[in-house]
Amino acid sequence: MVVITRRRSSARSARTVGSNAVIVGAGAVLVCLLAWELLARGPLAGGPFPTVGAIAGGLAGLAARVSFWSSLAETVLTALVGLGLAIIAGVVLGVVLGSVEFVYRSCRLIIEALKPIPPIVVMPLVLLLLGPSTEMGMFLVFYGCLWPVLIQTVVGVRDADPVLIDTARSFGFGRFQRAVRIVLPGAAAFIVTGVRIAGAAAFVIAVVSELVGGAPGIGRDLFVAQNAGLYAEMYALVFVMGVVGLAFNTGLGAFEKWMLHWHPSVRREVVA
Amino acid sequence: MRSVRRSESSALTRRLRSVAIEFWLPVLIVVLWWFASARADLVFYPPLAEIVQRFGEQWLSERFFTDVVPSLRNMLVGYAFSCLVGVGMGVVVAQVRVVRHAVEPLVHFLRSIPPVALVPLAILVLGFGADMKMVIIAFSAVFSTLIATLDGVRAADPLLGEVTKVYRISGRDRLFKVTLPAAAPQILGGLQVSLQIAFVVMITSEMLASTEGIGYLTILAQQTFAITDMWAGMLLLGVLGYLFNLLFTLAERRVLRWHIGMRAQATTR
Repeated sequence: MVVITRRRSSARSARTVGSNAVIVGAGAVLVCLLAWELLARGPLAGGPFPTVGAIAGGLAGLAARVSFWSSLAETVLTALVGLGLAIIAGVVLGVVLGSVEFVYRSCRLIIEALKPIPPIVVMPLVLLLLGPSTEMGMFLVFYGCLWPVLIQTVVGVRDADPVLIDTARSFGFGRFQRAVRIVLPGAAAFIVTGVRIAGAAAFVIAVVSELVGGAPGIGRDLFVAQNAGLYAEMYALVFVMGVVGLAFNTGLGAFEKWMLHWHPSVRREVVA
Repeated sequence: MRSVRRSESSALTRRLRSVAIEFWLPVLIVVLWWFASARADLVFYPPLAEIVQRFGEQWLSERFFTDVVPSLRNMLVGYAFSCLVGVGMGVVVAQVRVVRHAVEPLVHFLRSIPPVALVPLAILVLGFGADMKMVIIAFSAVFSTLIATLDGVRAADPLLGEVTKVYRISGRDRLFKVTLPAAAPQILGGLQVSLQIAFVVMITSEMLASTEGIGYLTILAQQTFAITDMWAGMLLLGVLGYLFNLLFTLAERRVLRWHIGMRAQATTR
């Protein structure tokens, strides 16, 4: 009984702390906006800092334009298609590399060498081959997202329970069936982690390919706004990117939970 | 005696075989690239021999001091700042609940902005100089370290906090002997992400706004169709990316030796 009441009260206090956190967080955001507004009107007026009102105006102006929404869709599509291709290629290659020791050890050094090289390094070549196009952006996203998925898949496959595999083999499962029914579900937790890491990078790489490489999308819009001297619109675009980035990260977290709802690591969280 | 020698020699052959398995494919690819590109007359894939030669001419000459050194200086200064500020702020903010609640939403939002997108704003505010690059590198890279430090300090074993209280350990001792070591694995994870961001932002800031630096010369070579120069630039950037990661991993392993040892012990038990 005592235990129950204590638990209840701690739950209540946790809830009040939670609401406090929201209030304090929102307050801090408001204070920052207010400080920005005052600085933009006062000492920094006329400089490169538009007022909050002007930025909101820029945002409204963007939202009213069809070209903005098509740019945004282009960026998100680039990120998602590149990510999707990277997941497919990464998982298939990862299962092969993870199950055949010789292939894995032959390719290990190549993967280790290429993994820390960011997509922007190979961008000049890809730009030369594909031009400033959506395909260029998709390829860069694919390249950047491939490594985390591939490496996590290999780790997950190599982590597979040998007893399970032997059991499946003695039941007459073929190589392919073992890979799909035993190895992949066992590696799922690792793969989903790889997808989360890759997904967080996908949107960023899409923006890089547009901003620096000139592929169509909100990244290129930012570059255009900079050259046209549309300060308020620049800040509005960066704000939009922050919102989209946040949505990507939140969406990936939800995706991870949804994919692994059956997995012990997530189940335990729900029970507790 | 003989059996010992035989086992030694078999160990040697095993060692050689494992080295051969690891290296045959990378070596084969480089050799194939070398000879195939020397024969074929492809515009976008100049002979590897020429790329290596241009690499030497372009980067190991006076360009080393006028372009490579400024790039690396901007990156390292910016990164050093982001490490200090990220870890310092993280430790302070994690201790005070009100500050943490106030800072977290802002930090998470700023972290979600693609770091590269901040470069145009930095150009707007700070111009095209080297100080702009250092500031934007530091600013973009700081959030990963900050968030990792925050989480690491907060996720530390609560028992640790109670023990330090019981033993009345406080101040500098608590910071350097308890708080930071307990959060070290996570902080180092954040520092590694920050390093990658710093590297990417260094390249981007030079590609978007510069008249010097490795990124500038590489994108200039691409735009003027100096294909071999472009390959030489990509080669240097690739090698740098690899080296930064390698150095970081080595340093991390050294710092976390106690942690890795502890984990190994725990798993064997």
